[in-house]
Amino acid sequence: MTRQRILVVEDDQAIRLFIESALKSAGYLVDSCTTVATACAYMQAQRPALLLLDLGLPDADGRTLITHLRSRSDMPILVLSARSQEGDIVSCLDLGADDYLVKPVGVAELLARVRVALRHALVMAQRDQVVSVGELVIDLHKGLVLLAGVPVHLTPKEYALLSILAQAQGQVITQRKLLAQVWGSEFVDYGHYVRVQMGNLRAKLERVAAEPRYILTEPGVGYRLAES
Amino acid sequence: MKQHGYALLLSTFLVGVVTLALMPIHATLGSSGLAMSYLMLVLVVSIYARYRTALMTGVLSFLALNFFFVAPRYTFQVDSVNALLELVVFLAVAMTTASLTAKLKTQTFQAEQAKMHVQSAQALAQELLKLTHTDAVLARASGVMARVLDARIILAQRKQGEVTVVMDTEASTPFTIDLMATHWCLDEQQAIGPDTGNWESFDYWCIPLQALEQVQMVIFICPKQLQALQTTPLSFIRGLVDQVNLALELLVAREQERLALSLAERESVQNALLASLSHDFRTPLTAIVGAASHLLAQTAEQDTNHRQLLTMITEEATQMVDDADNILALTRVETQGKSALSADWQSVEELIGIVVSRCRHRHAQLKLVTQVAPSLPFIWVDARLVIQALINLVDNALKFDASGSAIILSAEQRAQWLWLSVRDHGEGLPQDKQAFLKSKFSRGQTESAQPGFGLGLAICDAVAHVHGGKLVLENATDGGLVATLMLPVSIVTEA
Repeated sequence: MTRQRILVVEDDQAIRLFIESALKSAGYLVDSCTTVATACAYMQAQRPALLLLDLGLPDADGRTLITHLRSRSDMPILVLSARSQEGDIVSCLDLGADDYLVKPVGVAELLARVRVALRHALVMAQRDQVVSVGELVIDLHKGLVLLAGVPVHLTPKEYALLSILAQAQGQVITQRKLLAQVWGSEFVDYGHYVRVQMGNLRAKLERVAAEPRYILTEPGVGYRLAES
Repeated sequence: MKQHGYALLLSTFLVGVVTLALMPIHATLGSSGLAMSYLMLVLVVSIYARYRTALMTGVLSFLALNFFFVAPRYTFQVDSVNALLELVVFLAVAMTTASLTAKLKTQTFQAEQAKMHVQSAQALAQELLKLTHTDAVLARASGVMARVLDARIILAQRKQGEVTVVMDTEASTPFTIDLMATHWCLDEQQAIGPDTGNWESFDYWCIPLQALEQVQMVIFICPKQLQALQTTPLSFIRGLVDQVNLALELLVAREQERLALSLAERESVQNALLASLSHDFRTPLTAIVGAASHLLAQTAEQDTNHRQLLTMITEEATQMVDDADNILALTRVETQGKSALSADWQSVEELIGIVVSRCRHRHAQLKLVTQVAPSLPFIWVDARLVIQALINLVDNALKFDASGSAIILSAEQRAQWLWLSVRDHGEGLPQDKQAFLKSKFSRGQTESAQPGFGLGLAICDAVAHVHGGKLVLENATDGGLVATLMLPVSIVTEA
């Protein structure tokens, strides 16, 4: 397998240094830019496998780059942001970013997110798959959910939510996206609908609902199905 | 009596002049011409003189007409019924003329006065509108009212039961304020004085100024001419006072608007500052945590010394990020109160879940047990702040519990309160240190080896308060400390 190329757009030199170094030692090829403008120029000539984008860039809002890229490519985009920028994170995800990382970020977490994003980009086309995490198995083709080998009965809404999370296993799905896909676009502000259904799902799937191992909450952003 | 004498004298003189003038031409004029001449006199007198003078002129004209011109002349006798009838009709017409004219005059006067009153009120309003301070409004209003009403104007204020004069248009002349009247006027918010229905015998008016809510103030209006107490309509005085109230209300509204605007400005500046501070703190720490964790991943398993050092760098740097988060959250909550919240309906189970996963992520060896009561209601809170507060409580429990037993994180509903508790099995709370512990930067033991700024409990307390709840610290009966974040189950208002 050829080594995949990752573009890092980050203006802080120290952070860029550690990210580059961590990605290189994990076997990726890494290029980096410090501004939106140079990133755009780079993208004209190269087609990296993944974009790692810091939100606070000196020349423009990182979101303009996401909009620009999404209009012509499915390349996975990972956003790097501070925790205080929850609103910004959600808008990035709504614009088409695939996932986000909150600063400060450890190497293990960084590499895990990169792996998940790249894997999803590879298997985009294949839909009928079986997703599993721990004792939970979700057969998206047959519409079956098994917990420790035993079928779990889910309501249509619960299954719809779970299958959306399963298709993007390991990646965050915003609350608005879940509401729009399961309830309809006019319900995107009814966050408590999702929370009620997630509570029901956890009651059926998790051993201790308050200590979820499968369905993880990203406060203020959305939900993610844990990685195996 | 003197005035009656004057009226009689004037009317006698005028009737005499007219009679003398008519003497040589009475034959030519005839009886109707004579009557007309006298009526003319009555009309002129009733226009230019007072009502009673006009009446007297009418009666004297009647007598003169009878005595000098009606046959038999120079007697008060009348020889024909016709002439008698003529005389009676003359008297009736003269009286009617006098009274109708007087009525018309009164109406004209009243209309003019009303016009003047409206103009005065308008002029006052316009003068007051230009002013930008309460004191200036009160001073100008007193001056204008003193001039328009020809009265002494005194403003008195009541503060904590004490009445003091704050303004007096004739401060040099002593004036004793009726304290009882002032208190009554302020308590009942009603006017006192002639025509008001309260204390009508007073020789001044006392009217409360209602525009200033925080300030209790009355205005005394003491006319210089006692007659004005009867002739000045109360409605005019009230109209003027209303203008003052209006001007004051406008000022108060403008002031509130200005305050709201400057508060919003300050908040936005503060938020920008906090955001950039957060960014500036985080950027170098991100580099440190990242670099250390990267080196840790590269370091061989057997190199325990290096691994320990790198782990320590990561943990300490992460701790600094938490401290920065705490300072920022505390600053925001304390300076902005409820407006700092971005609240939504949250599931308690979910909040606890996030706290558990964040704490486990941070402390790999953490022994944490959750006890969440089934079917808890959703709560209207700022998720980020509540999560942060609970993580602080767990961190605290970890710091001060050396026993190594599990920390219990529980959630239950008791009446209208949701109890989110963190229980450890350490030494518990030092005696009488509850309040002290919660204040910013305080610690159970000074200079202790435990890390952290001691901000943890202060932020928990602030988060509880901003949600309308409280932080309770108690020693458990069987040892250890229970720290509880009590949050109201239902907050109806979102503002």
